[in-house]
Amino acid sequence: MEQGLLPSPRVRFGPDYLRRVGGLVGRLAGVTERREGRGHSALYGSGEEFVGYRPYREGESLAALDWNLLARLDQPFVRVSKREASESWAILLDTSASMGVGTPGKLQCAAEVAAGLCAVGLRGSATITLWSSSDTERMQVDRTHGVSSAMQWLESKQAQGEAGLEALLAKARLAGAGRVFLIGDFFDVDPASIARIQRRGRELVFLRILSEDELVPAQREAVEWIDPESGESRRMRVDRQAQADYELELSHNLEAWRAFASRHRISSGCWSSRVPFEDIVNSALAPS
Amino acid sequence: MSGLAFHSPGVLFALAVPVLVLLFAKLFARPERHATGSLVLWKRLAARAGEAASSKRPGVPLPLWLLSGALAAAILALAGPRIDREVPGRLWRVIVDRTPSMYLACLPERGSEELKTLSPSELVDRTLLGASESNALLRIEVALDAALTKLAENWKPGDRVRFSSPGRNPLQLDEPVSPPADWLAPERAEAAELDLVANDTRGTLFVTDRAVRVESASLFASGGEAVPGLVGRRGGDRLEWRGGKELVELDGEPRTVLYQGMPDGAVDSLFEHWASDRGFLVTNDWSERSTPALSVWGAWELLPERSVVGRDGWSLDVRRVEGAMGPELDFHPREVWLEHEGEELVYWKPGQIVVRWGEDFGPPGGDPAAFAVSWAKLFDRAVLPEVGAVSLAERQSAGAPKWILGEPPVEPALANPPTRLDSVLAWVAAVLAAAGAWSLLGRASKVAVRDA
Repeated sequence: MEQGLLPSPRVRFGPDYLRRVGGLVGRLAGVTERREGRGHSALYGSGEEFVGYRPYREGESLAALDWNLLARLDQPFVRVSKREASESWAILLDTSASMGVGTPGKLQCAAEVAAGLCAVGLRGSATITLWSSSDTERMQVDRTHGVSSAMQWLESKQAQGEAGLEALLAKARLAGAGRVFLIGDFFDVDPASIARIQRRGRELVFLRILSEDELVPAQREAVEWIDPESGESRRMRVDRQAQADYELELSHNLEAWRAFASRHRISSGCWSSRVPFEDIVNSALAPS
Repeated sequence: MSGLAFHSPGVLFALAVPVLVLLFAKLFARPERHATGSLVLWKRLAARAGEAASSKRPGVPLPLWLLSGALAAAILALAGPRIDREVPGRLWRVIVDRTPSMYLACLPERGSEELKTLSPSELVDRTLLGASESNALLRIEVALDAALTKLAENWKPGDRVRFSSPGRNPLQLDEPVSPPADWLAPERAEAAELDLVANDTRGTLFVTDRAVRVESASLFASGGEAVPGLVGRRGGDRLEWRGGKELVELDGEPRTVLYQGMPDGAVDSLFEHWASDRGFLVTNDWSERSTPALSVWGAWELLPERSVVGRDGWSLDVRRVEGAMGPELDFHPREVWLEHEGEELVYWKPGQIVVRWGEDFGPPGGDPAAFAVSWAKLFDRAVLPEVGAVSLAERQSAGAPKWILGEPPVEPALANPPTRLDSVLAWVAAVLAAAGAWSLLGRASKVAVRDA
């Protein structure tokens, strides 16, 4: 892969990132607790293990109410699920070369989301393990080390190599992880590999990050598309027709993943790397 | 000549630069290279689109087109282009003498320089002494041929020649060729003599028979011996000149004059007297077959208005008419002889007089003699000469031929300076350069926005 073709191979957290994370955590305070309700989220699918009821708190979504109990007792109660995830999360980060594509790079966005998830998880007393596809190291994030250590670890990562989420799924040890976040572009992932990591009581969340050019390619008279991982290329004229054809092809791909996620009760979503990480984290965790 | 010309045409070779720039840009243009994670999707699309869509060579970008255009315009401006106005050619003026003597056979006078070079047999051929009259070479032909020969020798591209002759509309030609035969044809009436003094200027060629003194103009005088023959009438008799002082009166049919549409009156009476004196028969029987020596036409449509008209010291109380009568009601060219309050009441051309009043109430005021002389002069001027009759003066010898080549016409100056185009092209270059820069900035900012 020639130098300079990847516009954003590295991760750099901005000076205001911690402030933004602080705000996000404040907004999502109690989210882990609330997700102990019916388990619905903005993302597709849900996972739950019923443990009991607790009184309804003012301001909570009425969707969390158990209407049968309300009818019987005339008191509002919320159904509570006991999630293993509240104790152990795993965040699998695609750091293959293709994540260096886009401005801002997909890896930058993915890292910001990962760090944001860490911050929210730590607030909920979760133990979080960060995995990177490009190396065998993992990062254990707990209250002792804090988000800063996760950020430091993430900043050491670079979009390089061919190993993506598919390779990471094969090597990551996810035993005990109640909630597993997969962050990447998912172009290399085989759905069968996802099926292998599914467990009862484990919630899977797909966070798919694509660059603007991957979502809506600009029209160009002639362009040579290069896969930064394999070095393969294809020369194309991106006119209005090719643009439409590409978007149709991408929508088929996205729809296939959405259908897969829905079938396996997996939460999933796809964002542009330009979307603020708060929105992605919020969508991944906040109940609808 | 008009057209595009350059002050420094060598600079135009530099036009190869923008052409080469565009050529190389086209040849070596490479597509933009972009990394993507979704190559798998593009590969599928490329497979469906086929080879043509995937191997297209990118075109030359618009900014490069604009900047190359600016460079080309700047080079053209440096070459100093201009549009030269058409340079008008010189104007030659050929003034043709069409007096009756010009239509006499050309018989070089014995003892002339030209005659000395001719053998007797050549002289006979040349002077047509042995030829029939229908084959006679006329003085006008000899003089005109000589003039046109010299004109052709001195002709330059763009030159024009304007033929003029009294009684003829000027005729301008782009080649030194003879005017058409009908233009050169003799007048029934005696043509006016040339105004040599006023026209003795550079570029003027006189075509005549009698040598005259010229300062700047060219002279082509055919010369010619005296030509005896009919010189006119005396009463009803024909007068023939036999050479020297010998004039012979021969009996002949009197010629007729027509007086039509005029009621009795002072003019009518005078016309009768004039015709009788000149030996004409007066008739009012008009037919197209006969051509009277003079036709005087009045009118029928009388108006109630009356006017007192006059000239040359006489006056006449007349009744006005509407319109005119005659075979040619409104002929041109014509000479107006009497005008009253802006209206042409009497006008004429050789052979015809139109009098546009219906009645005159005599006697005329003023001097009666003045009235008679005035009208008699008009009748005399308007009467057509007899066919074949040439005045005695015209039949006299025209002397030796003489060719004098005068000065050519003045070279015309350029009416307008050439239009310079370099400043226009400089503006074009500036506009194209600005557009190219703007387009370049637009592309750069687009890339920046995409990368931001």
